[in-house]
Amino acid sequence: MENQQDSSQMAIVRDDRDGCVVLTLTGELNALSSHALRAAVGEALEAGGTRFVVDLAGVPFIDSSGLGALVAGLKQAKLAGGTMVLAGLREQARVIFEITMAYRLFDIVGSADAATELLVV
Amino acid sequence: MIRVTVPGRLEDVGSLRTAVLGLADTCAAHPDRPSPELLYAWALAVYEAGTNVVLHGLTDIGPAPIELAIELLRGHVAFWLLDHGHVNREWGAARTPEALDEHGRGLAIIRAVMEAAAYGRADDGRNVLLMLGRLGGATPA
Repeated sequence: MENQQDSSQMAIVRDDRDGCVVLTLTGELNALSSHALRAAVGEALEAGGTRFVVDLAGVPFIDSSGLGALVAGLKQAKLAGGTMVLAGLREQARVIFEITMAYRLFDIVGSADAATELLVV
Repeated sequence: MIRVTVPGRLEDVGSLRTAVLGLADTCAAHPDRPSPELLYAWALAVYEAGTNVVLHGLTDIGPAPIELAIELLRGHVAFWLLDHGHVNREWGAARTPEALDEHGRGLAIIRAVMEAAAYGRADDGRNVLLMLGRLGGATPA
């Protein structure tokens, strides 16, 4: 497990588990911090990762920049032959997914463990 | 009327969201008080508007005050966002983003959440974005 970029508002911890790249985010995913997520996904892709779990249990709020970073990560993962599953989406963070109907793009499950199980099938 | 002024930096825009969420207390006794989900949606829309000002209106100006005024009307809540930045020329030209677009959702969120939104110039020369949320309205989805 390695600690990756910290922004002023969000920390990302990467854990490679069962062939999946699990990115655990803590803090708001917004215009200030979304670049860190893009960078973390980019680095993992360069290292050969294609199956991503983004654990959002520690993310109280996501804005359109944060959603854009998630969409970008999903697109890159799919281009690499993999995918991205979101886990632990909290109540206030879920709002943007419902308003934009972005929930149609992602598999969203309750926990990172459930997400890795989904990807390891 | 609730008034909040923030310095116009990305790290300060969250205070606009906090002000909107404070409506939970202001409207606690209102028969059409907004649900938590609707409040979250309003807070997101106002936040997106504030972020838009910082990212597009103040880019070469630097931090300048952004003022939010919240007014409880009959049947609606009015959110006035005022700034000294450049005019947002995207407002009238905003398109609906495609599903896999990575950008451009901010204005679409405002339009989806608010019953009405209008952009113009205040008497004091500031840009003003007026957003109306309907009390008793359903959470947009």
